[in-house]
Amino acid sequence: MKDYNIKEYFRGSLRKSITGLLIVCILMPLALIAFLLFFSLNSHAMSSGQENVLSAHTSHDFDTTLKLIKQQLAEKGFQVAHVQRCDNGLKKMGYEVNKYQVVFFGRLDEVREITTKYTELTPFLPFKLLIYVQGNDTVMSIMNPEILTPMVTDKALTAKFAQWKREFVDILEKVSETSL
Amino acid sequence: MKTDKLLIIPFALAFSFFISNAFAATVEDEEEDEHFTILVKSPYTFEETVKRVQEAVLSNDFRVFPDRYLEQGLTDEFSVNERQMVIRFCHFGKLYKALKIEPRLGVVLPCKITVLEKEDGNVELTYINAKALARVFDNEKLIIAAEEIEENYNDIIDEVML
Repeated sequence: MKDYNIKEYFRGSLRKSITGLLIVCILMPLALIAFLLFFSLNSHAMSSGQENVLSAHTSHDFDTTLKLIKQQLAEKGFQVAHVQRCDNGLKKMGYEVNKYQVVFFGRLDEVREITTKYTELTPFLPFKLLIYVQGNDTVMSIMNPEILTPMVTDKALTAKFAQWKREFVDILEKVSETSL
Repeated sequence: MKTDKLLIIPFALAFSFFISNAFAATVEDEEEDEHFTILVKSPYTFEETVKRVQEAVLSNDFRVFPDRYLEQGLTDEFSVNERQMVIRFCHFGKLYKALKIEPRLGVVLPCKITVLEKEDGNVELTYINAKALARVFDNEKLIIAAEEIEENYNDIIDEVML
């Protein structure tokens, strides 16, 4: 009777140990993998969300920022097509807004190539660089052209998106770093 | 009893596989959905299409800005392609609300529909997919607001194509 109890006791302990091992060695790692997978997908979405719109802050006032942007665009061979004064339109309609304007720009040869070969990308042309006032800062924002990569299969165009992105980042950095 | 416990393993693996595939499928579906622009062939001539877009925009309660050629400002007036017209429009009330939700929205403003006549004579209209584009801002409120903009675009295009 005593022997049986001891055997039962050890059997029970063994079962508990196996169950414990199963949980620790298999189920917990699986749960961990599922959690990490979920977390990595979400963090990727968040980081790509931040990268989709390229932005930079500067302490320059609005007019100085606009002037510097025009200079930087010209240095890169971009032509400013026009400046849309959204703030004026909103004010005329009775809305109170800070300075908020969009600079339209591009290179004619690139615009012509895109509109001829890739008509579906036309809504993004000319490029738009937004300038607006936020608190004491002036903010510059522009769409990252690399978001368009999934829409095309042409590697040369994909490389062009990357080149434009580098140029845009450079413009934003130079404007925000320029001291007067 | 051991066998019972061991049965959990394949089930757990299958469950894990299912979960990871479900997430992957969701991401792929979203990526497939993310065509940021819409292109429509017009059954009308270039001039008729431009006129129909202007009228449809007005009848949908938007204000129309002066039309611009796509290349206007990028080249001189003599070499600008006059068969590429941008019809720009805005509803200031909606714009004001949208800017409160997402101040960076200006990078895709204003609302516009581009009408292009191709070399083969075909006329095409192209415009942004507001709902897909709203996702790039990673702003849930904007995605909801973009549904209304998308409906506006659809109404305008339906009217043009009538």
